[in-house]
Amino acid sequence: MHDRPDPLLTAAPAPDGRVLDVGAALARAGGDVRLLAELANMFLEDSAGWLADLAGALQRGDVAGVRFTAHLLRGSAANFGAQEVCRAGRAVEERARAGDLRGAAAACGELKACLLRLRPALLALAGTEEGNA
Amino acid sequence: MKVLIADDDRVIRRILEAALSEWGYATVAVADGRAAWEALRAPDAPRFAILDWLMPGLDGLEVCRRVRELPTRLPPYLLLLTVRDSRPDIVAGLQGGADDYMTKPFDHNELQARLQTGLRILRLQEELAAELRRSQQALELVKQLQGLLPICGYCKRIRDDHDAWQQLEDYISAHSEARFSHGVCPRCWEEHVGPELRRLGAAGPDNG
Repeated sequence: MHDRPDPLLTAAPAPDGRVLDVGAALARAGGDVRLLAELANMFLEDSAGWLADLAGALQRGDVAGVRFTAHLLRGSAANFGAQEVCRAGRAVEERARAGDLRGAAAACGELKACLLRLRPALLALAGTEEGNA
Repeated sequence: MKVLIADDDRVIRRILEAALSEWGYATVAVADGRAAWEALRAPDAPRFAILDWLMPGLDGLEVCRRVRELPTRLPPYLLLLTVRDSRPDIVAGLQGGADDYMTKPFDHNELQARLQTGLRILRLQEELAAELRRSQQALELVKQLQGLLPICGYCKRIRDDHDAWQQLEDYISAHSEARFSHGVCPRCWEEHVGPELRRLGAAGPDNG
């Protein structure tokens, strides 16, 4: 798994330039900017753990674990209108459901890249907490 | 109204807690299906639950199935909130015991409306249960009056459940909605009241 460049380091911007939907995310936070910042921080922390869990499950050949974690990640990303991450997470989940671990690993690479593109936008949202303090 | 939130994603839990609190609901949040099941079978269980489908421990659908097997007249209202958005999943969720089904990410207005719908159904359930209790109590009274009553052959008093002998009218008053107004029937007037009045030197109404 380490003979290819890490997608996190080679991520390209999303084709449509939108990695998340701030309006939809703010609506889900009830229009509360501070709550949205808190949520963004939570997702930034948790998604790092989920990626580690995914890598571990792939290494162990744990299809159920891959599926479960990808499902959790895309569900959480949906709260921010992060369509690209959701699509990539779904691809991992579906490959795992089909028992295709090699395909799931490839899809996981794309998922990491999508999360890397999402990160600056989430950091900006998380920063609004400090900006409003 | 207390609402149980069960989801392994703390982002969703936080969003739901904030929204429900804003709408005036008390919340209790858990991160897995087993904790949700324990909360829903507790004596003071929340009457409304928002359950994720895929969770560690027990999944939300299994929680629904178990809750539906609980012997209770006031079952909780269960809403499955999940990213599983296929028609077969929705059908399986509802057939598995969920009262309602929503997909993530959810719309706040829609969730609020569905909570209100659920509350209406819970209130109807409570009213029906209370009416059923009242009907059963009334039926118990009828059964008591229809049963075999031990009555004294001489004084006509009735023995109650505590082995005390009661006047017939006291017993019936205590075990039914019937009330008595006292008067004298013509036969008793002739046999008892008339002679007594005559003995006292007064004339009764029938005697002019």
